[in-house]
Amino acid sequence: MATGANVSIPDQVWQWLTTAANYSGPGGVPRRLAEHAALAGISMAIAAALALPLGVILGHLRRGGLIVTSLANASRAIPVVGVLILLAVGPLGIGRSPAIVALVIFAIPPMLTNAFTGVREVDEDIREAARGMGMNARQVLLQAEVPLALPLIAAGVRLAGVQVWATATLAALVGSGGFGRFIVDGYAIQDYGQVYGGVIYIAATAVLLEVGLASIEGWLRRHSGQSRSVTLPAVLGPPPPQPL
Amino acid sequence: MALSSRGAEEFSNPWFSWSYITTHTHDILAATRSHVTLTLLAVAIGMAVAFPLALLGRRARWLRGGVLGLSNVLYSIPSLAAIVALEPIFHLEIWTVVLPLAAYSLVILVRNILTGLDEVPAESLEAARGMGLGPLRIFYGVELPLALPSILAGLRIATVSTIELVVIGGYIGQNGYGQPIFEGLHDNYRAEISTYVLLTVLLALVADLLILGGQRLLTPWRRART
Repeated sequence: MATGANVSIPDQVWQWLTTAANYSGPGGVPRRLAEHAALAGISMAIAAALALPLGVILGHLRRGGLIVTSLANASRAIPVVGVLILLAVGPLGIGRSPAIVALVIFAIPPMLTNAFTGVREVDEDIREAARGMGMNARQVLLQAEVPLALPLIAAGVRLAGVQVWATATLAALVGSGGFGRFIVDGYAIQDYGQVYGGVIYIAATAVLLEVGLASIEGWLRRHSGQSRSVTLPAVLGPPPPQPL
Repeated sequence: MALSSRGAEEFSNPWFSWSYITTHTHDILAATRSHVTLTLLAVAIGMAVAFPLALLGRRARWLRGGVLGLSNVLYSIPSLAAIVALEPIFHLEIWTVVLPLAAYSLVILVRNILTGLDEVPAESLEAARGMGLGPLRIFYGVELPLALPSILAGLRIATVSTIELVVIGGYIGQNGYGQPIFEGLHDNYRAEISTYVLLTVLLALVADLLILGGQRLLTPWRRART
């Protein structure tokens, strides 16, 4: 193997994982985790603030379905890494801002689609009943449609969250922090202990996030007064996760 | 971000340049060949493994849960991590990129093959059995054609995602559209990056339309309905 020392790769990984120095300072695991979480958290907050209200309102008006689906399809055809690199050589420059903008762009479609579909698919009889009880449009939206759409909205947030967490790895390519740094820095000096150590942390945190968000989603579904899960219409299908 | 000596145009660093395309036709064609080859290999391997896995998943509920659960975990590993992790094993061989991408497309395909087979109406199976068809003829003559729309929808998503992900292979120097994109990042050469990003999107759209066309040819009975 390319590394100078006669240490096998599994031993290098074990060494990297068990070296105390890798858990302190600016390049340590806790700092990288904090950077990764900040990148993902800020991006998710911005994307949710844009996508959820828009999706809910469009779903309530039952308008813009074509735009929502086209956006979701288009985002699948555009390479995330290409957008990230274009942003980095543009006015945003190298660093955290191109990463956040790219993450926001790709986190919007799943949340928008699910919020839109969730609200639009609320039974007409339920809306009718809510209006019959004397609710105005705002109350119908906030007290009937949104609570019923909540499981699907939560599924969109989970999908986007897992995707953003994985994609935040790419931020290291344009000089940002996060777990991706272990891969990029390790690869640059052929230190595979660091590369695989980074891969282990990325995969483990991603799986934890997926499981955690899925259980929140399950809890919401059980407590939103819906015994059966909301099913997506066949045309949209279950939103397939996007590999990053 | 040193500026290399690529002529006067480099210093204005435009977002798009026709002269870049006309002077690099040869490179663009070579990159397209590699990109298409890597995509086809990954999706073909994914399909070849997805079919037996999906059929296995149909045998029992726990097998199905296992197949789908494992694929979810696989999915959460970012492609950059997977590709760099395979680099010391395969180096510049195509498998560094093809294997992880085959695994990602496998996940999409297994899911859609299972969904497609699940959605075959019970009456169709009943009718086929009533006509005295054997299990093999039912599978090839009834189940597979009826599951085709779902399988091909999966193939479209898998192909488009794979075309996107081949770009990441450029980071470790694998051929395709990714290599010039990373080169452009290194040289701060906007026209090079934008050309190859646009080519990636274009290739994804062309592949999507080709499969859609194939689907319309293969499932003529659905055309009448829509």
